[in-house]
Amino acid sequence: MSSRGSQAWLFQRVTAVLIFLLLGTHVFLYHYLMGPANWGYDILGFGAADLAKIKADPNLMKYYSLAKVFANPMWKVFDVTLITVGTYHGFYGIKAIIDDWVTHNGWRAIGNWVTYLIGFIIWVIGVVAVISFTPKLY
Amino acid sequence: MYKIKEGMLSWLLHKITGVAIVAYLIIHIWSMAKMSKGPEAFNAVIETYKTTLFRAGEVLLLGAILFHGLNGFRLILAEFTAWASKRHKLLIYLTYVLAVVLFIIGGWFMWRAEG
Repeated sequence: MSSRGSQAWLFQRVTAVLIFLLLGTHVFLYHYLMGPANWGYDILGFGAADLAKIKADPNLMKYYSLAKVFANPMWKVFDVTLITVGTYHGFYGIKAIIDDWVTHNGWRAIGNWVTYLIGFIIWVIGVVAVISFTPKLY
Repeated sequence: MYKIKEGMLSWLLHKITGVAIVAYLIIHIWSMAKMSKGPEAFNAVIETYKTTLFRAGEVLLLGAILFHGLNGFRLILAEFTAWASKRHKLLIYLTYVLAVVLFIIGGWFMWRAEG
């Protein structure tokens, strides 16, 4: 095995462990702590009139409870890290499947580059959305 | 040869669940980028999440993530520890049992939860 191959092999294990830790936090925070039971538990600084409107709409409550977390720079760093580690691990996995199954050199190279390209586009979409996020006021 | 046979199904399932999770990752990042545009966009996407088809897909996703994660953990143990590489067969079966049990418990909670 080349050193490049064994480096990639090790990196897939390291990112796996990172995903285990980061994804656990992500699911707990966004899908449990911010879930239906706690809608609107931490809403942006609204006036009483706007707050009443928001509290009358469960979807808005969910949006603003998520928006508060999402706008926090610490969680932006967290999300960018998770998107980076997740897209790397996922799309490298697809590349490894292509390497195993596609025997024709040309098709394998094309398959690998298409995989890298889709992975990169998805990474950009995710990172731009996280970094540029500012909650729209009601 | 026997050991290789034991691991074949796990190996194949690891690839299939991996591809399924990447497919979800694409949808997830794409729709999150859409949702982050504001309350109206957020509500529009949330409505599609409430459909039976999407919720069934989410439960299946839990199954894929549980197997992929547990099997990945088993692989790392087998590669890095002599203890685990000596208990190859046992750990493969343990992975299946744990994945199925956690899938039933987690899937039940997900399915009965609102929205």
